[in-house]
Parts: sequence; C-alpha cells; structure tokens
Amino acid sequence: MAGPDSRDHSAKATVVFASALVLRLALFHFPALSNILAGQVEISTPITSFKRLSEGVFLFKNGVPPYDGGVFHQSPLLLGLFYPIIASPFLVKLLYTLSDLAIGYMLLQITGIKDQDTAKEKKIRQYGDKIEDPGMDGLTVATLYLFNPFTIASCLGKSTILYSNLAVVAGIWMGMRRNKSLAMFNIALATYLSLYPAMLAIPVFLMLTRDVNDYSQVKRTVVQCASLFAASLVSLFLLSFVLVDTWDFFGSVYGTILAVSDLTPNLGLFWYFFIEMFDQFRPFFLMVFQIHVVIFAIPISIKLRHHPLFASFLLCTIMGAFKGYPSIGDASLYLGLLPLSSEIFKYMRYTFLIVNLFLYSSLLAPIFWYLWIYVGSGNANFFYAIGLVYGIGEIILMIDSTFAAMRRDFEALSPPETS
Amino acid sequence: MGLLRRLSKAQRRLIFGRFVLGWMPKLSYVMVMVSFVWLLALPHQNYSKETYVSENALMPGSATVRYEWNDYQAAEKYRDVVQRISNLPSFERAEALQNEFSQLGLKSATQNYTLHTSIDSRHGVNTYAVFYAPRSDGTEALVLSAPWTSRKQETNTNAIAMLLALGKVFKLSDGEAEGLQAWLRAYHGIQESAKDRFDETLRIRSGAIQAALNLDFPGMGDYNALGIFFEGVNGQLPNLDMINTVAAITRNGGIAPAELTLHDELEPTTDNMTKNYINSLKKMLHMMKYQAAGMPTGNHGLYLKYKIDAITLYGFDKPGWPSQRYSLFRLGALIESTVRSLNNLLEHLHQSFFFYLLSGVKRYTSIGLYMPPVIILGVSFIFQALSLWGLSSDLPLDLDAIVESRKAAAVALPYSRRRRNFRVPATVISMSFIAGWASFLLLTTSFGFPGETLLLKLVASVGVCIALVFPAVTSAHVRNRILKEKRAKTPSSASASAELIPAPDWILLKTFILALSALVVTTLSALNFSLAVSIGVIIVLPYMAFRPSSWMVFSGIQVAALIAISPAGLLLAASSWYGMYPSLALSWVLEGYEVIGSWLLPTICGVYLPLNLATIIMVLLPVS
Repeated sequence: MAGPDSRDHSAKATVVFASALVLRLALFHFPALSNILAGQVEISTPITSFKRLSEGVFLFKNGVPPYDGGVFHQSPLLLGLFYPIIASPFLVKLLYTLSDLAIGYMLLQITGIKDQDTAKEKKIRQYGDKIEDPGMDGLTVATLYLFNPFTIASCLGKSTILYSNLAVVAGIWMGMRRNKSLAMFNIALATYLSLYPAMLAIPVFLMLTRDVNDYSQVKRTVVQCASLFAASLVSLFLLSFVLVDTWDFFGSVYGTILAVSDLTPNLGLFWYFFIEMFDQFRPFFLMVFQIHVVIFAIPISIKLRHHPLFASFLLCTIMGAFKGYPSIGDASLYLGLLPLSSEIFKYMRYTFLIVNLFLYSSLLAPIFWYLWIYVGSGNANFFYAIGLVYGIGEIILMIDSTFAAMRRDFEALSPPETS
Repeated sequence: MGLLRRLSKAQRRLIFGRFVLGWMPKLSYVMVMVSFVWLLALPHQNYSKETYVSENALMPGSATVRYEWNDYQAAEKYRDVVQRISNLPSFERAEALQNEFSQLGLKSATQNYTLHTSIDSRHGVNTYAVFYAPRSDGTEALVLSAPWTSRKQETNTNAIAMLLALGKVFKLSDGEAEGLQAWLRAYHGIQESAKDRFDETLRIRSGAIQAALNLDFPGMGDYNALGIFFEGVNGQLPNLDMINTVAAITRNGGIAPAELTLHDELEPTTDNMTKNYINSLKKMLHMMKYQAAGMPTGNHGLYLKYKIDAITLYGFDKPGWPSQRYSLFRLGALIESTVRSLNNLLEHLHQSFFFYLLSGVKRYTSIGLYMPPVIILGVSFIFQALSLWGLSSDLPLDLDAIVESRKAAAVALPYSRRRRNFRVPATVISMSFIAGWASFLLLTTSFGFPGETLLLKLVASVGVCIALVFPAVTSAHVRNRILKEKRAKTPSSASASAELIPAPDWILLKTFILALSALVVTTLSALNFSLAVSIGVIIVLPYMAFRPSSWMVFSGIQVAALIAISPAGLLLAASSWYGMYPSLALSWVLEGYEVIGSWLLPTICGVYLPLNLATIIMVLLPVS
C-alpha cells in the first residue's frame, strides 16, 4: 500500500514544484512586471533592494569601495554571491526561483518531521470522541508558501530578503533534524544577513533539545550552541572582511538596520515617526523602537517552549511587523511558517478579519503611493495610514494565533468530559 | 467550574450568533438605504459650500491686462490665416503654423508622431513654440494648448488664432488627444522602445510645466457662454483653484465677465428649491458620468497624468440665453489674466482640494461629505459576508439545544464547527478572474484574420464567459449529487457526524463575492470616486439579495438580472441610451485604453466581469 501511495505523493510534489518553477520563470519573462515590482517600496526596502545591490556590485567591480556612497547597505557575502552572476539576468532569475523552491522544499520536510513528533503526543478528543483531525500535509504547506502572492511578488521584485528567509527556514529545518552545527550556522547566516533573526536562535535551540530531559545535557547543549553560533558569526564576518578588505560594512549594513538612517518610506512604522522627530529625541525613541522588536524573544520562548515551531513563527511575525525596514518578503516568511502549526487554525476567531486587512492593505498601499507620488493629490499620511492597517493586520494575526495555540494547549490538558 | 464556564460561553455565542445571523443582514439593507439617501442628498445646497480661492499667491485678476485693441485686430487677422490653412494636410498645416510663430520671433518646432492601436494607426504633426520670458530662469513653464478639432468636430479656429495673437509655451496638437499625449511624453523624456508608438524627440524645451490651459473655441463667431471641462484620465481632477481662478476672473465686474458654467450645460437659476436641487443633481451627475468613464473631457486631461493642473475652456453659443456675448477681445483678456495669475504661483498648486464633487461652478462638496456613503456601502457588503461566513461554519449548529440540555460539556467548542470547504469557491473565483482577463486579452489584441470586427471579439469574449459558466454549474451539480448519494449510502450513525456536513458551496462562494465587492468598491473610491459609486450602486442589491433557489423561475429571473448588469448588458443599455451602435461604444472604450491609457476597460474586464460571472455561477449552484 505504501508504495503506490508515496509514488502518488511524489508525483503531486513534482507537479507543485514544477508549476511553481514554471510560473516564476514565465512571470520573469515580462521584464516590465518585474521592474514595476522591484520599484515598489512595499517589496524593495533600502536594505533589500536589488537595484542597490547591483549598484554595489558595479562599484565593487570598478574598484570603488561599495560602502562609501551611502547607497548600498547589504552584506558583503551577497555582494560575493552576485558578483559572478549579475551579468547574466537569466542566472539571477534562476537563483531567485530556486531559492524560493528550496524554501518550499524545506517547509515540506519540516512538516514531515513535525508529524513524526506529534504522533507521540497525547491525543485531543473531540466531539463524538473522535481523534483530532491531522493538520495540513507537507505538500499543502509548501504549496501555500510557493503560491502565496506575497512570495511571488517578492521573488519577482528580486528582494534580497529571500536569502535571509532561506537561511531562517534552513535553520529551523536543521533544528528540527537535531543538527546542532548546521542549525546554528544557518541562524548565524540569517543574523549576518539581516540581524534580527538572531532572536530565532532561542526557538531553534528549543527544537534541538526538545526531547532531552537531562538537565546537565541541556546545559552542555546551551554552551555548544552558543559557541557554534558565535563561531559561525565571527567566521562570516572574517570572510566578509577578506572579501571587501574593510570593516566599513559594519556601519553601513548593521548601522543602517539599527539606526534606520535611510528613511525611504516603507510599510513599517519607523519612517514616518523619525521624519517628524526632533533630533534630540531620536536616540531615545530609536532605542525604544528597537528594544520593542527584540524584547519579545525571551517571554515568547518561555511561554511557548513546547511549541518551538510556533514560537519561531511568532518571532518572525514580530520581526516583520516591528522592524525598521519591513517588506512583504517578511510577510511571505511568516505566512509560510504559519501553516506548520495548522492544527491551531480551528481555534482562530478572526480569520475573516485578518484576511480582509491583508487584502485591503495590499491593494490600497500601491494605490495611495500612486496618489501621493505620481498624481500628487494624496500625501504621506495616506500611505502611512495603510502601513498602520497592515500593522494592525499583523498584530491581530499574532494575537489570534497565540490565543488559538494557548486554547489548544488548554483543550489538551482538560479534555471535554464525555457523558 | 469548567463546565459552567463553557456553558456560559455557549450562551454568549448564541447571543452573538443570533445577532450576526438575524440582525446583520437586515442592518446591511438599512445601511444601503442610508447610503443611497446620502448620495442623493449630496447635490443639495446645504451639503455643498461656496468655492473660494485658497492659494493666496494666485491673486486672480489683479495684474493689469495688456491685451488691447490692436492685439484684437491681430487675432482677427490670424483667424483668417487659420481658416485658410485649416484644410491643408497635417504636415503642411504644421509648417504654415510654424512659419507664423517664427515670424512672431518665437522659437518654434514641429513633432511627428505615429501610434498603432489594435483598430487603426494614426499619424500626425504637432506644432509648438516657446516664449522665454525676459527675466525668468527657465525652470518653470506654463502651457497654452489647442487641438485642431474642437469638441464639436469643427475647426478650432478662434482658439488657434488666440494662441497666435497672445504671444509661454504654445502647443497645437493635431488630431485629438493622441497628439498632445505624444508631445507630453516627449517633453518629459519618456522613451519607450515600444513598437506600437513613435514620438519624435523635441528640439526645444522650457522648464517644468506648472499648469496648463487648453482652449476650445470652435468656429469664427462670438460666444455667450464659457464652459469649464476639468475631468482627466481615470477620473483625476485638477486642483480646485484652477477653476476658482477662472471663476474669479469671469465674475461680474471682473476683468473679463462671462457666463461661466460647468461643461456645456446651462441651467437657469431660480428661487424654486426643488428646481435648484434638480439642476445641481443634473450637474453633479454629468460630472460623475465624465469622471466614471475615465476618459478626459478635453486635452487638459492628459496633463493631469504628468502632475500638471489643467482645465479646458470651452466657448459655446446657446441660442436664446440672455447673457452678454463676448468676442476675441474679451477672450484675450480672460486668457491673459488667467495666465498672469498662474504665473504668480510660487510653488505647485496644492492649497485647495484635489478631491471634490462640483454641483455648480461655484459649489463644491468635499471628500469628508461624499466618502461616507461609499464606505457605508462597503461595510454593508462586509456585514452580509460576515453573516454568511458565520453561517458556513459554526453558527447554525444546535446551540439552542446545547444550552437547554446542559450537555455542553460533551462538546469542545471548536469542534462543533463545520469544516469549511474552500475548493469550489476558490476554483470558481479564480476561474472567473482568468475568464475576465482572457476576455480582456481577446478584446485588445488584433489577430489579423479577415472580417475581424470588434463586435465579433465581443461575441467571442462572451463565449469565453459562457464556456466557463456552463461547465462550472453542471460539474457542481453532478458533484453535489454524487456526494449526496455517498451520504445516503453510509447512514449517519450518530447525529454528531450529520451535523458536521459542510455547508453548501454557494454560501462560501457568496461570502467571497461580497467580500471582494466591498474590497473593489472601497479601494476604487480612492482612485475614481464616481466609478466606484456607479459600480457599488449597480451591484449592491443584486449581489446581496440573490441566492440559489429551488424554484426554477426565480433563478431564471435572477440570472436575467445579472446578465443585464453584466458588462455586455451594460454596454447594450448604454449604447441604446445614447443611440449609438454597440460596436461604436466598444471602440470608444477600447480607444480610451489604447490611446490615452484609461483604466476603464481593464477595471471592467479584470474586476467587474469576474465578480459578475462568479455571481451568475453562485445563483445556479445547488441549493443544498
């Protein structure tokens, strides 16, 4: 029985991945579409824009220090990655497409590992004393990621957030597979690319130690993981130094992320505040805003220590909502991670509202941008208001999904009495 | 304890469920009524305000006008010249004009352009001249322009003579809108290597264009009224101060008094309240008609695409109207005074409103008053959708029984929900969007086979839609029957599983349709209010009220109504209303898309048609 079943499954997977590949390459075939998307501020932020990356590569090729101009704020290794292939548009498109497919594949694998884990769990009984329905299978999770319009738009817009997302998902996958060194390396890589994913080191550590009851062993793993993380990060920095032969990239990459010095409008909450703010207040509010992003990492990891996958989804959503330069690439990451916890969906109460908020903001953001920038009849308030609506959508998603996860825990602890 | 808490929760849900299922749909109909009444109240005197010049730098009519008797005589002479050359082919005509400009000592040039649409290809020559003001830095410019053919398809003689006589940038465009479009594209250096258009690059330029006046004064006679056209491409509007300036200059006792009105309609003012209201309503409907069509009412509309505020002044003669007639003399003063006051601007017009509805040339309704009815319409859609969303899942479950029998403990609440089956609605929605875009592609590409006409393409695209609806409906019915038989074969042992049968597909499909309609109406209202209102008013009642019915006649009536409000039905209705051939109306819409870049056709095909198709399918789905 297993033979034909699994063959059927792999055939389905082939269809999904092949159609995702073909769809992306076909859409890449219309350069106008790709260019329009690359120009949208919702997709390309100052730290993820492909245009700026090309500028950096161009400067680097011509012997000009790429970080001098104040245009390029991306990691040196991305520079190194694109240096050999940027001359060929096809290779660039292929790299983006394959990276997206790789994320889809890893999500599929993660679901598989998670299903094995939940097989050991205590079962929740439901109405008529049936066992709880199984969650989505891996292929559905991968399909939801690969055909999410946000994912496709971000991929076509060549936002380099994709590589950070790739590293995050790879880290989670390796965490689920209990591979300490690769998990920590990937999280370090994601941290190296966009800094905030450092928070994910905690849930990934929880994944690595999820069945370990021996306290001393846990302690040992903490030390191992911390040193692995630090070592990977330091070696990535050293590698970067070797590549660009200067430490300037620290200020230009991480300085920009932390100090939000480029105030190009985006979907986030920072730019409008810091445009309006008097200079003497800037450092204080900058600290408040940045601490606000990272402060959730520990309490969430403590409360959701038995659900590290859900905790990492939640932390990614927090990053996507509260960081300085969010884009829909971040949304594609957390919306991709959400179906990994599909068993909580039936407890969610505001699905309709959340879907509508995301729909409205993703339609109205370009419209208000157009009214502000091109037509001149709108103004910055219009666009920022939509950023707020989008933020509210993300926040309600977090609240509702957390409620659902807690509710499911409660249900598991106190099953309904059957009379 | 836990038992009690759950019970009370069940009760709370019951109350909420009753509200959502029982009251929200009724409330949404009330909201629709409120919205309609509000919309009808908008033209009333009490809901509009008197316009005023908001930008202080404009100072309309305060500069001394230098246009004098000898200029008037020159203009009359030019009128004869224009009359003479107007019948020449475009190239020679442009040459002759360029000659006239250079004799005046202005730098002038011509521009060739070609544009291929799916129907025909157009070629023409633009003439333009630049007057460099003596003490300016050349970074800013104003444009006066006139097309060769007027609104009334006559030669725009007076306007062109006027341009020659006034001696900023002048622009004479050949043909209709496409000439000006080519010139503006070239002026702003938009060079697309598209195979469907060719615009020659401009040899002389001035600074960034701040504002533009387009003149439309057909024939050689005098006029007794002056109309303002201001609606641009896709319903964009110029800053209200443009209109206010002209209004201030033409007021009684101003520099150039004239009977100013909106568009080309004149309505007598009376003391009769009802009559005044009807006049205002007419004017507002006219404006909304022009705005919703998304087609500019004159060449000014094209400037708006480039962030240049512009209006068209249109001279016309209404026989029997008691106002004073004016000739080229007063017209010259009017234009000079307007240009002078625009010249006073220190920065781009921004003070006054960009979002307004006009119910008269001096009465406006601002966005704060006209936006709420659309939002209310959107919310009423959402309320209906929300109630159906509830219906599709947990709410119809026997909560009453649970509460009464106090057996709630056996039911963990989330499990008492029915499973939502997204497969059918998602397929129907995505297929209808694909059909919409397919018909769009069908209409806009020319296949090049003989006997290809627009009407044929229209028939083909309707065919595509039918080809979607028919299989969708039949397969849904077949699927439903199979599912029912399956259920009948395995008799439900427990009432529990019987309760978990998913809701019929049409409920979720209708939820999607309503939610998407709300999305379309509200987001569109930010771009083109009039179009959003028209769409909203047309679809709100049918989409909310219609549902599958086991009574065949009733379904038939619903489908007929939906076909009547489908794009094809609306096209037929509009063309018979205006006494046009449907193919002519269609080619007008298509021309708007291909030549001017209006979004009416993409909106209709890409958004309106799919929703309409999905609703037709929804009505025909099995009832349960």
